[in-house]
Amino acid sequence: MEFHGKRHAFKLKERLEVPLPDNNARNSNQPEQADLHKAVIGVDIGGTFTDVVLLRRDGKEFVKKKIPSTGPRFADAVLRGVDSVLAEAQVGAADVSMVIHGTTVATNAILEDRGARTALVTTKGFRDVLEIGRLRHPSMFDYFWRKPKPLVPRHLRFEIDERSDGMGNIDRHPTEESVEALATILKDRHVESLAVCFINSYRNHMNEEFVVRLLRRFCPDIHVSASHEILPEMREYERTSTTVVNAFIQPVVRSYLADLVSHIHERSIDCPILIMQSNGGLISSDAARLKPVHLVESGPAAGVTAARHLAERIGKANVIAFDMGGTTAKASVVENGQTFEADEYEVGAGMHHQGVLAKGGGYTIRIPSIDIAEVGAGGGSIAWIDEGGAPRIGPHSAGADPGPACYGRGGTDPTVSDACVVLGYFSQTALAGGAQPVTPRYALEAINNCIAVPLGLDVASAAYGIYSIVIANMSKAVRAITSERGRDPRDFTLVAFGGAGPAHAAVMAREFGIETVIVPPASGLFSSLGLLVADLQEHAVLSYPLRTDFDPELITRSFCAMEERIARNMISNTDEPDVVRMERYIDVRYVGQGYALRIPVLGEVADSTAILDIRNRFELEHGRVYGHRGDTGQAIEIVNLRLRAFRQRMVASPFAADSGLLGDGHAKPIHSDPVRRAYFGAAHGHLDTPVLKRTALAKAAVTGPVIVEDMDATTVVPPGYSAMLDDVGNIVIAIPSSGQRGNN
Amino acid sequence: MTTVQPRSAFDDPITFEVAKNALRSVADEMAITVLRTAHSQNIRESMDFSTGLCDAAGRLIAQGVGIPVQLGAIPDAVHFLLAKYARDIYPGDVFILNDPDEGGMHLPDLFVVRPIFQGHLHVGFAACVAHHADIGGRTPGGNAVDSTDIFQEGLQIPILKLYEQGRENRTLVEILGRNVRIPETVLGDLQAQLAATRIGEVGVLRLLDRYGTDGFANLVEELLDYTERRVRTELARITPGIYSFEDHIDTDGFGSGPIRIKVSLSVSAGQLTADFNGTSTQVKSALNATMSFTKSAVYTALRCIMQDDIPGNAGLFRPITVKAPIGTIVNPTRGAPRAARGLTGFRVVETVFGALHHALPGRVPAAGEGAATMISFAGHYANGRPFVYVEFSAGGWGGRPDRDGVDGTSCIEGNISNVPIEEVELTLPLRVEQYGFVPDTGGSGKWRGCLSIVREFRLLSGEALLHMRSDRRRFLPYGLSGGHKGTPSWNILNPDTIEEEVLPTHVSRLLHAGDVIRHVSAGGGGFGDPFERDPKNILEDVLEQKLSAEYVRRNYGVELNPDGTSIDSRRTAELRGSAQAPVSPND
Repeated sequence: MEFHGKRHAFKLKERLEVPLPDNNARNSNQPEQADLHKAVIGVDIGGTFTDVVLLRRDGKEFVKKKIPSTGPRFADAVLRGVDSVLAEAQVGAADVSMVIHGTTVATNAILEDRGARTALVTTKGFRDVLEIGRLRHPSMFDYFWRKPKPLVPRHLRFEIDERSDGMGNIDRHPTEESVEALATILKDRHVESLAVCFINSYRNHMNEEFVVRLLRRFCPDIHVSASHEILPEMREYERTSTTVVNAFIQPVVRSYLADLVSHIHERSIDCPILIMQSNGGLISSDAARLKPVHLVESGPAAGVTAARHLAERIGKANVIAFDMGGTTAKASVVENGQTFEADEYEVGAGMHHQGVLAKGGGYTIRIPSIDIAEVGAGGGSIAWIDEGGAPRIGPHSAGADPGPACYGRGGTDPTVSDACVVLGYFSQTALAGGAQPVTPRYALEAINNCIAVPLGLDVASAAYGIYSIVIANMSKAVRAITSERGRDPRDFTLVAFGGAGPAHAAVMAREFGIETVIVPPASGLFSSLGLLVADLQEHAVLSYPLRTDFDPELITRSFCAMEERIARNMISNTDEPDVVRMERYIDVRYVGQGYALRIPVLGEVADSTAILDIRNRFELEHGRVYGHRGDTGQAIEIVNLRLRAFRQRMVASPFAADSGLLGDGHAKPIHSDPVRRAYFGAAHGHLDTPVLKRTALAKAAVTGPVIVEDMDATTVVPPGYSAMLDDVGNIVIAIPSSGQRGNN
Repeated sequence: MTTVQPRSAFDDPITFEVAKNALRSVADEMAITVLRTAHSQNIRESMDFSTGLCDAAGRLIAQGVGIPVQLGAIPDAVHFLLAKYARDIYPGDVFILNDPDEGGMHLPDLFVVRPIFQGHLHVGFAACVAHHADIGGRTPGGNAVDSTDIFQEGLQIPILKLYEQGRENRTLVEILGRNVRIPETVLGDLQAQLAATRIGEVGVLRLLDRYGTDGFANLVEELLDYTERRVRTELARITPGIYSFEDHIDTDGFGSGPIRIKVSLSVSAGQLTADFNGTSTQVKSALNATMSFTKSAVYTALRCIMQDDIPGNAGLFRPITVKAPIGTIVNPTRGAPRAARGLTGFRVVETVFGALHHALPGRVPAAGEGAATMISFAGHYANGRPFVYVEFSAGGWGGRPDRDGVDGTSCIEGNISNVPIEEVELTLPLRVEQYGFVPDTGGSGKWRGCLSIVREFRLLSGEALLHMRSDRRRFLPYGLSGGHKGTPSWNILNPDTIEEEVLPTHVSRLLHAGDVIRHVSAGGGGFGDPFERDPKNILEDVLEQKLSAEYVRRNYGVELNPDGTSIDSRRTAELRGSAQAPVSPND
């Protein structure tokens, strides 16, 4: 039986297990035999395809379906997929114990400006905080920059005469009459959703709560997002913006989820429906309706969660999740089995590998999300020559239409996929399991005309140049989450997925001195696997401003109060076995610093020894991240107390030899040459390269050059690299040493 | 300067592209390090710092994201350093300086320069310049306009070794710590700069390791040549000729003014010379720039008319010459006070833009708010501990050739952030009473200039020394192509009370508990004839309560229907047909 009772075993020391609030008779750690035929379904809706996967709880049956997405009638594709996986797995509707969904609905509502008619209520004098923002613009010399239009226009931003000070003392109370008058205006103006954010409400939310309570009473049809509920943290712009984003997308997400839930229930599937949040944890669809701002990075988070699970399954503590698709490449790390969170994110800001340096390009949300770096480099990225005569890739993409030149749909710009065709890496007849025909001649012409001739190169060198440059561009994303965060990439294994990832990963890994690349099976729908294995997660923060006294009793009391509250919130209406686990963190900084480091609290904060331990670990982390530590005795202060609560699901892994993950379902067999001429740069030239199916790879290592073709991805193993299949169907590529090791 | 023949291809274009990105990443990594470890609000919130890498000859090879207008500062500092320490640079050395006459800019800007050694071979420099919260001197914060010589402005640090072969210069650190009001903050920020240069060193060594010493040197040559080629291509778009413009600063704060900034751009065959002949002589107060700052300002303005992916390095400077007579406000003599030079530099950028409007119509905006305002408060907490708070106030941009100026953003050359109100109120005895747009401000135009922003502080307890540097009350942000001038800035003490007092643009004043100081930033200039503005855009401004119905009738010749939500087309046609644009544009 594949059953992983020891998930997160390395975290045991940090664990604080508490009994379930509504603990029933079941022993949490022992699933009943009778439940093992039950199944979990994962649904990942993308722009092009809807992926539906099913895993039986005993791990003995895995079924996957890729269905073309059906746009606004998204549920059609979902239901087709669900019907199809249920039939194939021979699982009845009543035996579905959980449906888990990753969604882009929240992001798209913002990017496509399809949110609700939203109003903002704020403190008198601060109507324009939302529009002024933090003043910085993202590109240094672009005088034609367009500032993102505020999600709430000025005429729907209202002020209430109230005020509290920086210490939380209330100076002016709002009057009930002023709120009542405002309520009338809001109804007159047909406001659909409302955000309330008062100055200093992170410190004392009494005024804000008073106004919110009244507005909820006066305007029962308008959903009210309160800043002290969404983000009780200092910094008025970030808090306002986050609350406004929540309000803007709330009605859209609410009706989307209601739609989804009712359709699934139509199929007599009457189980909890859970949604993936930006931080990789699941929440109930009811909770998601109230705080949809937590779903903005739902889609990408699933992929990293899958990588984390895979890493644990195969015994790797540190992996880099590398996802390369048609237009972007994303990278994220899993270190000691844990994903990392970024506190702040700008929706719609485009590429954000520069993170904190290039602010102002999008809508700020300060919500924990998996720290993912993204660059505009994918299979569809266009290669061009700039005015200085240098070859460049992207950020423009050929998109789905006309697509790369090799698709023969009229595209003449050379793309990364065209380079892969010219190099002989990609099939010379068709991609995507036969669904996309390929004409190599078009790829050749595009690269020759646009790159090779202007640079005076032969066409193979030009194609290899495109391949090398796109890898260099993508390595910015990897660097952003490793060396720029003080981590050595050589301590990591690279997990490559997405349609284009497996073709580029091995060569990129060598740039960093990474020793192993793993290409998981079903790498084209790898993200949906993350849905199946994710835990439920809730997050709480208590602003604890600038306290240097570190009173153990106060800290403990504050944590306990948060834990009680959050335990009540965590849903428990599932019959899956699970364990609730709480993690405590303290955000600490040197007095006067702007950014705090998050330090886990191990065990109880009982006395001054525990405080000393926190200090020591803060200094160690500071030294690791920034290269220097403060002077002995330099004052440190607490900024926030944080709590993360996990309802850890005790589920089987899809990555098991007998799960059926390796099967290609009913896909058409791939017809490809057994051997292709492929080009591997000037050092190797053109080589006859065997083209294998994944299942043909032996457990003993095969030496490159080798190309492995799956239904939806191609893995390139260059000369000198070797590859083998492990017992769950991963391609494991051993990277030869680059011969030079930097001193970092 | 000889013309470089464009090469058809590099020896290895692919490696070049890869290395170019890698080098830029190192400089950005340095900037991230400063941001995350700095202590003062001005550095960590406003991002008033820059990072850069130079080769062993002192040529800038990469610049991190930071403040654009510091673009030319690091190479000048390193050149002075090389001249002084030619044969006295060893592994483990780290240099520090702020002397404006020895590579510095103004005293609060501390430069930290770390030579990079590969074994015993000196291969380059990692440098970081940051604007510190205090540097001693007669006024807290060290930004006073009303200093009359450099000795009043604080501690001068000629180029010295902060570390000598790995050993800290304790004497220097102790003198620095003793001479500033908030030593923990200043020394903490200095640590952040040291950390950044260490990150730069590691990054460059990693690249040297990858490409080899000679390979790396070749790449640097190619990178500078590539940049130069791209800059020449951009400059070649300008019709050869001489383009002049002048703008003014109202006053030096001692009653002397206006101060003229005049530039003539001579453009020919991919080269450009900016000559500041005709600019006012240096002033008694601290508005004097340094030549390095003037050059940086010119480079910044020119960068804005080029594609924005051109790397920031020494190749950029090659086709550009900047000339200014010694003794002018843009190139003053030794010992001139310079603390408030930012205002002058920003005005230089706007003056160059004005000239470029004639050289490249349709490529530059009308004048924006101008980044003129610095506000500082200095006093003591109830427990006697001193505080110094410095903030740079930003407004927005002037109207642009095809769109409105941005309301509420930093000027392009500064790109600083504001400080969160809640951060101010948590850490200082100050309250922010309001922060928002002022309706019916900014210059009218087919594309209007940004609105003014009001920011109002109240001192909650004790006493505090207020110091303000501002401008654009008399000489307003210029409009272009028929767009109107912007609107003036104001500093008002205790507004809306019987004690209300309009303060001068440059002012020092002791505030008492309860005093309120209101700053209204200048509104940006407009672009194009206001009567050509699409009534739809005007209606939106009115609906957004940014402009009033009365204002748009007067300035735009647009009449709204009594419901206030639609346009009276007939009356609008009458107004626009009969009247002249109501205020004479200054273009």
